[in-house]
Amino acid sequence: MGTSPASPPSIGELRTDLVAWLDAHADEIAPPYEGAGSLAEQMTQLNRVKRLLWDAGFMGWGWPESAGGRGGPAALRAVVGEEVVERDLVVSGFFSMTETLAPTLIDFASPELAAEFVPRLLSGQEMWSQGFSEPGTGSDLASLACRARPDGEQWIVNGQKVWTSLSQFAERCLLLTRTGTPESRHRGITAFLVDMNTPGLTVRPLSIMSGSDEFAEVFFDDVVIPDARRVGAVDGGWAVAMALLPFERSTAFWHRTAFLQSRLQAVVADAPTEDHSAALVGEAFAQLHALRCCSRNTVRRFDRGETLGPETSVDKVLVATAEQKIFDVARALAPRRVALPENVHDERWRDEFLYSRAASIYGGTGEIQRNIIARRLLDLGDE
Amino acid sequence: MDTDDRELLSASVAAAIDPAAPSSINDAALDALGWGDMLAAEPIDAVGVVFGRLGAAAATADVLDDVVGCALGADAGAALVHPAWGRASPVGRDDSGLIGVAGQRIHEADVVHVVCADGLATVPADRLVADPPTGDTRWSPVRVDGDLTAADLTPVDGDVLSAAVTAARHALAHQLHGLAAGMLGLARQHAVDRVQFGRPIGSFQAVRHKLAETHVAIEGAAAALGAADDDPTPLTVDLARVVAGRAAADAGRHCQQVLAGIGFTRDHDFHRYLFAVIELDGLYGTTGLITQDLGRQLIAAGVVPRAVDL
Repeated sequence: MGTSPASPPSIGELRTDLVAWLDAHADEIAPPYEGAGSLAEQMTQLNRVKRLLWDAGFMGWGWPESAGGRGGPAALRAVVGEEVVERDLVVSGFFSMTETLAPTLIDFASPELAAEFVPRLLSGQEMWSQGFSEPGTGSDLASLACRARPDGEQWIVNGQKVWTSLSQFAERCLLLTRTGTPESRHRGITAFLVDMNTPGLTVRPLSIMSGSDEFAEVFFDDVVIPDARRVGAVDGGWAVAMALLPFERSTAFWHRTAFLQSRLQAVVADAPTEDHSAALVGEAFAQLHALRCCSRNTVRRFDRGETLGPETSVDKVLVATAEQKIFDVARALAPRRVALPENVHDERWRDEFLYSRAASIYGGTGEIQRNIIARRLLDLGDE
Repeated sequence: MDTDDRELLSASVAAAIDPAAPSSINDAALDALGWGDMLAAEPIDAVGVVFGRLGAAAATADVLDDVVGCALGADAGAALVHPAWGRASPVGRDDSGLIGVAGQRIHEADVVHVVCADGLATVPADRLVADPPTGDTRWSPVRVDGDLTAADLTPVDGDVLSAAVTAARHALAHQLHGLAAGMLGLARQHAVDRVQFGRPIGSFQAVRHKLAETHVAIEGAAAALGAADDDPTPLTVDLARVVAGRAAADAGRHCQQVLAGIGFTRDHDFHRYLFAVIELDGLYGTTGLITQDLGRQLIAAGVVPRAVDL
């Protein structure tokens, strides 16, 4: 890590320093591939960028010193991600996984566990995945069945996870297991940080629509996890899972707005000037603006120490709406590059158009968000 | 204005709206609250509160004249003729130096000030002709009988004029947001009260999701308005106006569907809101026109600006 001043920089100071550093190291930090690159190339680039940012001192801002960070408000992480994503150096969703995985460990794991592992994630030394969903457990997370059975100072895990992004590249997985009765729902779930190379753990990559093996199934066959790797209390895993949300919906969403900003920029760069395309670009810009304004308020509330709750479902719907709108417009203005890509740049548009369809599915579907808004924010009572 | 001041003003404006005749607010009551002084001293806060409240009650007032008049340096209380409905900006002189003015008048007065591209034209009201003869709207389309010439104009700087257009759009954005929130309030109450198939219709997911969708649009507009209030540039204001206009249109569509039969009548208040949204959308540029103009600016510059930042 670089030098550690006594107090964290302001947002403006950090941005100035970071932009200067990114400009000075532009050649060194640029992706070595054209277009989107393969998944393996993206992973290598992600870890390389994190490593360079860590060594230069930028990656530690906004993380507590107890977990190897340099302190300061979370907005500093939002700025670092924004600048890195807007320059197209990394895949935004992959970069932002740190935002949900690291805080969970910091808040719920033993201080020793957090101090040992969080710096590895921040510095690009390791990649982690998130083992929540199962074949029978999508929107209804509390129904999960992958079982962990206590056995002295360790746990024996049997079951299956699915949609566990990037598992084949991950050293570790934040895993939710069933430790209570099958009927215990959210009261009988326990979280662990499991090593992906543990015997009995098998990963089978799954191709997503665009052809990339981003997803995976993970099978657990008598996988042994030491109790020291438990994250949070026994049967306290629901709180761990829910604690991700404020991070996903503040810093990680701000990173996503930077991705959308850069892709709308690419749309605008070669958009025709007639009324029809101006109207489409204007609509996409307005959607993105509504999202950025909401997301900025959320990041600020988070840094003021306010509890983020159901109102962030609004941000979630706005992210999905803006993302799908921007790629709908990208396709409307140049349909051929999505339909019949001719080069790596076209292929990237096609991949991202397809990926944008999932924006209203992952992280809680659009329907789940609207259910939350109706019940919690509009007080419409039970269905 | 701090939060307490804003809330106090908001409550006072709400109290000035006569529940028996909510479609028009008493201008004298607004004046008694010190509206003119607030507009001069703290226009952003004052406009946000007053137009937001007007929207929430689907009320109208002459205050848009004050906002634009104040920005153009007209006397307090001056009656204006605004650019014709659907026009984004005022008309200029044609090749022969004449101005064929058609516009929107909001309130009656002996002398009116016509907002033109080069300035304000002062015209006796008897030169105004209804055009077309007004139907069932609160806005009076008018034109000036005969052409205006440069001699009729008090020149106004181009920057001042665009600031006045921005001020109008800022006010209208707050009003449209208020209207959207007002419609959601009506539809939400109906969803809770109205029983069909033995249960409140608000227990049906199809209804809930329409209201949730409306809430998201309104929150987006509120956030965009917050950004415009913090830093009222033409860009942030136009964006807020477009986002609020879309929220009002979405709210109109979803809330009317939830209100169903009763929302289609004049017995229910909803119709006042829908009329107001449809009518206001044409003042100083429609949502569609401003959206297209924003897109055109982006394409011309080749850049998507970060209109707000952390």
